[in-house]
Amino acid sequence: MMTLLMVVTMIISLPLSASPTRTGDMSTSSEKQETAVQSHRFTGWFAGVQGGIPFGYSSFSSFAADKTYLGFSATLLGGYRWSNLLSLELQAGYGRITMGQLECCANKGYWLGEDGGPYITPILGMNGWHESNLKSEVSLLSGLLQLNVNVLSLLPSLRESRWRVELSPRAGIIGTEAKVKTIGSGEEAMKGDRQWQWAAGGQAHVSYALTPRLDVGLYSNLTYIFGDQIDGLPKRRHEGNHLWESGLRLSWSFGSDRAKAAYEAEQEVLAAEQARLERERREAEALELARQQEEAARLARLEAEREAAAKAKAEAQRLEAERQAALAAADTLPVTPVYFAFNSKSLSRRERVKLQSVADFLQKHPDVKVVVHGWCDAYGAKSVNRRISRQRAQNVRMHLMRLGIARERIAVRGRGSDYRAATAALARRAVTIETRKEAQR
Amino acid sequence: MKHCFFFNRQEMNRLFYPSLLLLLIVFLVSGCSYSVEDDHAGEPVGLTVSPTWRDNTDDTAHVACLDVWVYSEDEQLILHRKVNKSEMGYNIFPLVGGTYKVYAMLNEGRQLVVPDYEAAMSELSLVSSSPSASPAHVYVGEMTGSYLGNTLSTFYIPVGRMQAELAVEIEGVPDGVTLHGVVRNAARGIYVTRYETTSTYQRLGLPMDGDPVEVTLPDVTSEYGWLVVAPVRLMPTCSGYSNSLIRLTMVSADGRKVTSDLVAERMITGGKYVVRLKYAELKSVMHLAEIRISDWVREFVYQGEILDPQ
Repeated sequence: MMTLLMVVTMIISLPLSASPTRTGDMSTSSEKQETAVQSHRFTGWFAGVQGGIPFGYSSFSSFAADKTYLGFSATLLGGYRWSNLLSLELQAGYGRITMGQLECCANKGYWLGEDGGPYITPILGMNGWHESNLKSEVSLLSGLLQLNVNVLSLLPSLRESRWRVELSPRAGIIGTEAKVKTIGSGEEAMKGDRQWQWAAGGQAHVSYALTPRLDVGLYSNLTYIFGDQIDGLPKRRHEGNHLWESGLRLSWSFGSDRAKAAYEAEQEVLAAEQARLERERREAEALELARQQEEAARLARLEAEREAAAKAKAEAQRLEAERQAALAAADTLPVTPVYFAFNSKSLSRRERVKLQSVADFLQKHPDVKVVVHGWCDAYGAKSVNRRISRQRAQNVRMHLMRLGIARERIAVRGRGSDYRAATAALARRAVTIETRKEAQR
Repeated sequence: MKHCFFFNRQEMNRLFYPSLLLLLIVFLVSGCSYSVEDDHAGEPVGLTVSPTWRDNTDDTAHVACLDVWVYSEDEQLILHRKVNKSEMGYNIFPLVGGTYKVYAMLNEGRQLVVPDYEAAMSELSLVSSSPSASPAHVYVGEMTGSYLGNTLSTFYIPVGRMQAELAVEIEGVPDGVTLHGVVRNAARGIYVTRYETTSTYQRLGLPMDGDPVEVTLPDVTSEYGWLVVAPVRLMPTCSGYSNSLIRLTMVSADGRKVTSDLVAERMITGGKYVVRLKYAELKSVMHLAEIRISDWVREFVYQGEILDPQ
């Protein structure tokens, strides 16, 4: 019943004890930090108690034919924990168990003589007892050394869990003192002296950290005793001679300041590392934002240039259409001024295109001669402007020559500064005019 | 998503604690299911014999050895075994199933012996090798029962005394008188498998007839006015005699001799008898009356002359 009670307690406590792994997705970073601190276990010295229900199995057994005898035990323990994986503890315990004849032996008629001999029938003339009418009350004293290995710490995902599952080989000495009594009257049949014997076995232990220092858990152990039967009876068919005990265990970790400081230092290092990672993340985000903005500007500029080129192309097409229309409408030299940049004598590509219509006209009319008038803006010395204006006219003639017009058909004149032009940009030009018309002017 | 065997990590975390609890519960209750029946495999089977006291007043008696005869239903001897006291607890007879008649005898040997162990069942007898009283009783019992076979079964056989027991107490005796007693018609032996049957009792152990034996009682000297012969074990009265005959001879310190022949009831198998007399009433021939003390104990006393003794 007590074992069942403990199991139910564990089941009830499960929902309240979700591991960090299970709650990690739902919790905030501060909650995670808190959980991490709480799941920490102190290393260093620890002490505790454990108590439970021991059962004995020897010539007699606690699971006897007449009833199941429940014993009790209490154990003080203390030890040292090097890490979450390993700890070593010393146990000193006291307990009492009662054992009776096993059901399988009950119909065998086993008889115990006063000489301690195991017989199958009573011996006349010798005091003795039918073993089915006997029970053995045994007091136990134990001193055991136990090495605890927490297997959960071997699983990375469960290393920080509040749970601990320890498998513990153990060895030491156990002192047994058996009193064999009759079941009905309780009359003492035999009494042995306390015998100290070597013992070895193992314990399984599942615990939960209520706080970083306090552990509560369930344990079950099996301990074999080497030597005489623990029930004080002679050995019969059953070779067993062991104790099986299950119960509740509480332990308190004292820990040490150095361990705590080491833990806090570790937490500081972790915090600093987290801050560095956060800073790097923010810098990377800023760089990414700037890159995205620059890319957007570049795309906008390309779009604007594409639109301007499309617009210029459309304007050129429109002018060409007008020129062709003008040529078709009047068989005259188109008046097409070409403009120059400040202090420049070179023709830009766009301006050279304009001269194509002049060249076409002259090709169509081989008898026509033209004169090219070059102009400058009002800035600068007059003599210089006159020379530049002539050079601008010469460059126009040179381009018309490249377009197949003979040199003798093109005259040039430098007209210097044009003070009547609306703007300086409109003044820096060269204009091709038919010689006949020029004469008319 | 990392995998471990069949489950991914989330599934492992979900299943871990229920599995752990299940494992713990199985471990906690596993001890209850431990089977020990197999430990008895190969255990010897057969019939064992455990004698018990027919008369509980014998429970402090000395036991030295046990003889067991096992007969079939048709009285054929199956086996005989003799063991000492320490072996009595392990005495297993490997028999097949069937019905058997078993005789158990305690303390055979020395002065009381079985002359022919292989004799027919009805002739199985116990004889006295010495005319003096025996140091210990021989007890015999019988039981007829069925043994199922392939099991270890025990026949608990009540055993009773084969010999009679006689004590003498005479009061009012002057100091220095020596008593010399003789039982004059004790049986030579007892057929242990036969019954002595009368109208009032039936008792296992039939005294032999013919050739009565004189059994000498130990000599004693009077003290504090009493002559007391402690109980001695002797063969019961020989078959064919209706009375037991006891001769007491007392010699005083001055050499005067007084002889008294006592005529009492038969001493039967297992009976305990006390001759209780007064020195002043002693006569040369005395017919004694029997007083029942218990099922087993009788007192022989003098109540005056019996006019018509049977």
